[in-house]
Amino acid sequence: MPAAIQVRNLHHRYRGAGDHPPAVGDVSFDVPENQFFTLLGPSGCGKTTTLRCLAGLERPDSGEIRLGDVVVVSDRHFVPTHKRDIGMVFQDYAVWPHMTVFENVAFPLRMASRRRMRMAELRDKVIPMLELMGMERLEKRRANQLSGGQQQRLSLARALVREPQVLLLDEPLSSLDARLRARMRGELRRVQRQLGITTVFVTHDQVEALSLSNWIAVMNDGEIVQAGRPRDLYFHPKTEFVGNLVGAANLIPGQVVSIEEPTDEGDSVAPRAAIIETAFGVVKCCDVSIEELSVGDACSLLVRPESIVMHRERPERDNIFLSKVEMGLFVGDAVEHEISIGESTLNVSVPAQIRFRRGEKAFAEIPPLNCVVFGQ
Amino acid sequence: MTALQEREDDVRATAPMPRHFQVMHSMIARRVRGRTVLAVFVSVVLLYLVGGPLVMLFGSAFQHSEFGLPFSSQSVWTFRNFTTVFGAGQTYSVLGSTLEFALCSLAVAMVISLAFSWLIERTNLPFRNLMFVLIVAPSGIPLLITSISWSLLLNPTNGVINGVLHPILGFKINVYSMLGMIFVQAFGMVPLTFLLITGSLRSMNGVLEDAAEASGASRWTVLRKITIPLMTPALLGAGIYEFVNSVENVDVPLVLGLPGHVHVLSTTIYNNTHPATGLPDYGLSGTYGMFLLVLALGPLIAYDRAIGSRGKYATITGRTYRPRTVDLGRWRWPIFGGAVGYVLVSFIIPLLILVWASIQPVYTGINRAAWHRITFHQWTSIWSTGSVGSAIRNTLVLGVSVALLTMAFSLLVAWVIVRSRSRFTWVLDLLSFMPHAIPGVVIGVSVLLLYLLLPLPVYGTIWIVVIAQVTLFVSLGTRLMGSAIAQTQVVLEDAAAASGAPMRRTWTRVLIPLIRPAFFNGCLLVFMASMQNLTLPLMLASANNTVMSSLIWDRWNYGLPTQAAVLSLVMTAITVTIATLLRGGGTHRAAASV
Repeated sequence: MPAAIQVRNLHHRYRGAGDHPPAVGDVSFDVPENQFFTLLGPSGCGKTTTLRCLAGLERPDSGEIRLGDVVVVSDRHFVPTHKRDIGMVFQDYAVWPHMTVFENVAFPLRMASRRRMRMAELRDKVIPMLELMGMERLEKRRANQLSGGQQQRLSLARALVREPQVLLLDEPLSSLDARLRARMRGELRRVQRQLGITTVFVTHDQVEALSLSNWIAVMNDGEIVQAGRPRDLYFHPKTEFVGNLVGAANLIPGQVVSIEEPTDEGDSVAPRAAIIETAFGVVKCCDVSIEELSVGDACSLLVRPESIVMHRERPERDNIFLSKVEMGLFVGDAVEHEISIGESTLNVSVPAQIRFRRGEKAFAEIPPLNCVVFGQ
Repeated sequence: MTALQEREDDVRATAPMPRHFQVMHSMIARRVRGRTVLAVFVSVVLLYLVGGPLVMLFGSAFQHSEFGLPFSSQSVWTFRNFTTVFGAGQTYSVLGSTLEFALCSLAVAMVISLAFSWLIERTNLPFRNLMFVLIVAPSGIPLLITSISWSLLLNPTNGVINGVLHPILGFKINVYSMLGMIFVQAFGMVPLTFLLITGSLRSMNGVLEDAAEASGASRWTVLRKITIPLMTPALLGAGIYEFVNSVENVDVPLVLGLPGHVHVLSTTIYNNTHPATGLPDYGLSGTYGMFLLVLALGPLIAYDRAIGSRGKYATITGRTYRPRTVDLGRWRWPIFGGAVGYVLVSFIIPLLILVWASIQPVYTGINRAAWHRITFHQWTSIWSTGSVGSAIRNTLVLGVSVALLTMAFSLLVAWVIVRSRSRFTWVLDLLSFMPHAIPGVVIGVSVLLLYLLLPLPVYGTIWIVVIAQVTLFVSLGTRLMGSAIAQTQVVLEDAAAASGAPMRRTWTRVLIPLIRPAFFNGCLLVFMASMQNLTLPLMLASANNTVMSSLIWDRWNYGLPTQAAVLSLVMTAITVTIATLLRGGGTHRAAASV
């Protein structure tokens, strides 16, 4: 399958940025047709700049961008925004307040047509798009009389109406409140799947990134630090940075004291494991991330709060630590506990049905398979 | 999904970009050129409008031109103008009076405006909305006309109030004095100063004050530590603007200063270019002009340093709430009485005296004999003189062309300044700001000099006034359009581009419709300012370009106060109508952005 978007060695530095590092430094990626591709990163990491380069709102210092069959950016060529086959949704909607809902959606069609379009022609395209967004009854409304969620759907309808090759989404959900954001997230996913449009999505929110994407590229300081499927990033981050960014994490410093080679003795199969000395005891880790470690390495362990299992009775397994419950925050579907093991403090997420009281002693189990190790 | 799964994790694997893809013929060249052409165009025009006259001003300041035009064969390069100016003791007394006049009237206007802003925004003063309107209403009356009214009321010979005061108290108030000038100028400055200050008080978020109070600060401490510091930019801005205003205009000093032999810099320049006898000395007036320029530029630069340019286009967020109102208690009605008194003195009485003067054949004050002479003759006969008709025509031509040219050009300048990310926009910003720092009378003399010498057929026509006024108002227009464009989020333009609209259609379909109200308001504002402006029509006056304001001055100066009164009322009616057409907040925003 050909890539719908190809980005090669993109560099961009804002004017007047002085000695600051470039906003985007050597970014390359491909997005295959029909995929939902996400650029995830903290603010200032260069994700929005990259997207604006795709849109042509920013002209990169160097690099090449191809949208479909068209090279839009290279050393010699730069196709301006309005000549690119894109649809774009902006962070604060950018619906034109002086036009009606209908006029907003009709605008790209009018721009695409060389002649003056008849009303019937426009309606044929605009109304189905509004129906897709569930907004057909609002067509005569002024855009500035809409709620935030409606404005966002209008913005999406406008971006999609001329059936662009590529949909660009610049933090489209960040101006919405939490409940609406969750609903729009689902809707975005549905529309994207339904139309099968290649999408590039920029966000700093790991939940949006994980739930929507086929593929995520995590950016930091203008570079892509890791890219992969959502599950890979969540369970096998390659750096502390990525591990922290895609979800809550406990980071525990330690040192490798020994490596256990894999054994295969009949029914008991033991994978390769690293034994790591930490402040609160020895932890055994079997995650793939231990491959490159050797004895004596300083390292840090990443354990997700929901991976830690709490027991009232000591189970006969690896990595069991006696802990004391310091605090519990009931958040509805779970209880977020803070526990202490010796001098160390860990965050643990426990299903809401199980109650631990403050001060209670319990056994914390850190499953060796869910324990990612970063060498240093 | 499959394609992705087959791929390596590392998306930075760099395959060379295939070269055979269809390459679209790039439009960037045209786009960049479009923007660049626009930027170059506005820079050149601005440079011509602003730089040309200034070069003339500086040049002629070094020319001895007592017997001819600067730069002509009779003129020689010299420092004589400077030795004349700085050597004469009179210069320093003129400078002293200029400063006294400007600073004192500013202080009076500030105190009155602050008091009214606080009373109207923060207390339970009765009829606050009505008071607001009445305090702002005089902004429609040009200072020339106010000065004439006060001369009718308080001149030492037959001033109406003096006629009442003298028999009772045994003294007269002479309005032809520094004190008189200060008060008339101050009253004239109150409406705009008040608008600026209430604007900032209103847009201030009450939460900030509540937070201070909740932190244990007393009312008075809150005022001192929170409210006033937050208002400082607005207060400073208003103060500087009004300071330049009172230094640069000739209205009050001409009408009230000349009869009392109080000279300030603006009238000195005017007298040198329009002497009662003999030839104008343009070189000398150029030197005075430079002097005045420095005087106006100093505080502006200091202000810019203090506030920085960041706040210039600051937009006010709508999410504020009005703080609790202060109960004035038993002072409520006495203070209201004082406010009504102010409105009477600053607005009603000056208007009434004009009405009275306009229905008199010859003005002799108010007395029994005059009562029997009431006639509407002036109102009917004045139209038959050709000069009135042509003055009205000229005023309209001037106002309409200045409003449209200024605003259209300002829109282009502002767009380049606000939207461009070029390193050189500060040059444009500075150039467009310059006219604000150049006193009107200096622009007048510079434009005069320029077109005396340039072989363009504008000298003596209304178009020289058009050029001068466009130069004068372009900074106002640019600030207005700048804030309008800055308030229009750039993503709205980006979204149009992303929807396939080229620059031209982005302008026609998105940008212009969005800023149309601000543009329209700006046109009205400039039109009104153009009508009210006396300085430039007077500096550039000739037989064929008389406008309403210069005609009023002309009639007054020839000792025809009744005709001046009729014309003043006509003009006041027009300007007040326009002022009410300005949408709410229009004037405020205009003023706030200067």
